[in-house]
Amino acid sequence: MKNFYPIVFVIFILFGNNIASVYATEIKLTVSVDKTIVENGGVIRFTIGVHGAFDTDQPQLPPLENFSTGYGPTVSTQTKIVNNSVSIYRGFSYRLVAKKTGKFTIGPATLRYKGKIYKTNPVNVEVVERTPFEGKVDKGRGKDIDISKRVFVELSTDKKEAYIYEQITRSFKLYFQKGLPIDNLEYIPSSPKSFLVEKLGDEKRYEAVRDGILYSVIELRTALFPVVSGKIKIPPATFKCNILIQQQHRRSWDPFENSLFNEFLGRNEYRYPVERSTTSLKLTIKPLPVSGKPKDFTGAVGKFTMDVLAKPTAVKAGDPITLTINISGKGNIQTIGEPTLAPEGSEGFELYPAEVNTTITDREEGIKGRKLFSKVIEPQYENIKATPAISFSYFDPVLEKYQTITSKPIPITVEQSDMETPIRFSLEGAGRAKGQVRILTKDILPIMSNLHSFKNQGLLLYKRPFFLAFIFLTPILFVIACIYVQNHRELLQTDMGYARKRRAPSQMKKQFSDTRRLVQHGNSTEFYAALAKTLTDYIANKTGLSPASITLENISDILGSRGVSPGTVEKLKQCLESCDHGRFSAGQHSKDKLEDVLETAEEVTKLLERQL
Amino acid sequence: MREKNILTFLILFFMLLSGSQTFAGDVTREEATDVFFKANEEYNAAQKEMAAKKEKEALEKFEHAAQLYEKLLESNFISGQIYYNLGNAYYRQGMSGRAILHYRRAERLLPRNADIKANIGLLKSDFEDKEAMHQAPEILKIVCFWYFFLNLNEITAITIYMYLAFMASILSIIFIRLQWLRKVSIVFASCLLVLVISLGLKAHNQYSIERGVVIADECEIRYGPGEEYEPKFAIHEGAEVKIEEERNKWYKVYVYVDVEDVRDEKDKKDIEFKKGWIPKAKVGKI
Repeated sequence: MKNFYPIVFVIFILFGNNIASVYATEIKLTVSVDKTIVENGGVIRFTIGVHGAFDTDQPQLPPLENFSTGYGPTVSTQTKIVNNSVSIYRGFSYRLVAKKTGKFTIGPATLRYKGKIYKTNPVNVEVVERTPFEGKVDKGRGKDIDISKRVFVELSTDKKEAYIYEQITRSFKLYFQKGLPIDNLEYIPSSPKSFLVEKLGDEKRYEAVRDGILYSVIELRTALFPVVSGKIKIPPATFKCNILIQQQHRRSWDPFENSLFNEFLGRNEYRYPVERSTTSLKLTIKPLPVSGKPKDFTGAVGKFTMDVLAKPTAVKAGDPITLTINISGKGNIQTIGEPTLAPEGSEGFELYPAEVNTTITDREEGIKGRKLFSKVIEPQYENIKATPAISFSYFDPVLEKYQTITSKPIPITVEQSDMETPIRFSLEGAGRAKGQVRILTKDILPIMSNLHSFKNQGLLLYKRPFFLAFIFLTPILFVIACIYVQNHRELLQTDMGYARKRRAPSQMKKQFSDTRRLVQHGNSTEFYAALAKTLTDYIANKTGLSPASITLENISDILGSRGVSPGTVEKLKQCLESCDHGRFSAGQHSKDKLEDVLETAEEVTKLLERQL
Repeated sequence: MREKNILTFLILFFMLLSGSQTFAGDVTREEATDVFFKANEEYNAAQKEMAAKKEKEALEKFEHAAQLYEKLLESNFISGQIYYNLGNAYYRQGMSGRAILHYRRAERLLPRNADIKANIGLLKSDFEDKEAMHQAPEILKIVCFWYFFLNLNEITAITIYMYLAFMASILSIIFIRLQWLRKVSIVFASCLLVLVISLGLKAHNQYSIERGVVIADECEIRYGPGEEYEPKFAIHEGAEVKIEEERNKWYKVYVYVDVEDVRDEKDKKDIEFKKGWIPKAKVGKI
């Protein structure tokens, strides 16, 4: 008992208001028949539905001259709680038997409720003659089924005229008579090429009355975003299903004809395939107006809002700040472009491309969602006080004009960076972007006036005779030199006399230098001996004789026969005699004397070199 | 003694070779320098007149300066500086075609001079059509720098020096028997080979391929060598052409400027379209 009062309280809280609201609203009266065409003597079910109240009286039937009422009414009640909303329904079903053929209108049923009279719409019913059955379904029973009235489809859009990129809701509705058993439902949607397509929510199931018949409706919806302007056609959609039709059989003794057995095997059901196609739809897609189009418009069409958040707001120069720009609203959120940063406030910021995250939040009543732009900006200087203003433009198809949302600059604090800043050459606030060169005039460069480098360049080297002579003569000279050197080398190796003659001057020079060293030592005996040997060896090498065969007695003949002048021979003999005298005399000679003799010998050899 | 004699001979030969460069020509260097100096003075005076808004006087002085430069060139004293200054003088007189012609001539003699390139670039920037001349890639200019930064005479001189060095090294190997010179002589031989090829290419490019500049205000390119042939298209003053053939008073030219815009889409790749005949008087040979 202790727990009873809290439970009652909770129930009151949950339902009390709703019940009150239900009773506060007005009731609604509907009428439906299970078929609008019936054979004479056939039965139709006539149902009057009362929505919104349980405490009503039984509705008053209209005068039914052409129908006889059977038992009834059968009363059914229904209560639905969807999303905390309560809907109440009470149905009064009557069984009407057609008495004669013709088209009849069943007048409105009336209901008095709380002093107010409610009326239903009239319903048309056609009563036809009972005819023998020629249907495709069950020939044995003599009964046809009008399938087209029982199952049909509709394709519709919420608007016939729209702007490019504007959202259009396309609805595909499948109507099938309530209670008609169908299975294998297959929906083949049309594929329009000039639209971006987004699915809208789950399929909707509800009931609707058409021409007095109660139908169950399955509705499939898609959002279309036209991408081209002009007269655009939406191709038809197709729907396929099977209708299950119960077959009746004559009683049989065959145990396999037993109805229960057949039902178990599915023999009592006949699957009747049905295919329905909608008609195509024509839409007029208008281009977006040119006049009044903002510069930053990037193609967003719909209704949007924008929030901007900067984090962190206190940084050092060169550190990043993330601007989170949230654009949300109804429209094709996928095609929204990045909002624009005001150029006047962007100076001094290093800007990076934004990262984008798109979320569709609602698909029930059109595409709704948000697009998040995370843009990193880096303030470069410490005198920056706020982030740049951000603007976003879109076209509102309801107002038929462009809208621009501009966020205010967010105040930030920028401190001096720890890093050294490079020297700036441009003046602050000079009215131009830093580093931008302003070209005043374009002109040619001045003339050349350097006289040092002024020379005649028209004299081409290859046109000069010297050049040509050089080019042709050098290789010839080179070849001649090579031949000469080769021969010389061969003679040196093969002809001993030639080799001695060629080497005589160099050998003599070497011996003279050795002899000169003896002058310095003051050794006259050795000096004279060396000098005599130098002269004898030189003459022997030049003449090709052995040094021993050259004596003072025969030297005149030897040299005379080789064209040496008698004067030179005489000087040579005197020199050799001086050497002999010096070698064999007892006393030492002075250095001057020795040098005089050496010079005389050198002169003689020079004379001999010319003449031999 | 003999080695000394050969070396003396080579030195004398080289001196003769380089000495002859200075004293050839119709005017001496001193005379030419005088005229060049006067022409420069005249040009600078004209520049001052121009700054003082005395256009008539300035024009007269520019004309006089140009005459002096032309006189120097007529006397066979050829210099890149004269061509460049003459180009400037023509530019000031409003003759951009002649200016480009003389800048191009100066460029051949002074290939390293940046001022010439800058002035050509400035004049070409005034043209609306695109230049379709083949430019060597930058990497090639770096790798074969000697080809692009030296004129024909300089490459010739370096080739001769290399030739002499190579010969000297060979002779030294033979006479003095310095074995280490063998490797040096291989280096000299390689350099000589490269230089000889470069020299041949440069000479071919300069003398075998004739180029010209349109010096008339506007000029029609015709289908054949004569006024009786229909005009094909018109090109402006300063446009550069390649001279392919000469017949009477006409040149058959290949136009370097892009003429794609005046043609149908399907003919865009037709090289023949750029060829045509132009009167000799309207083209200056570079």
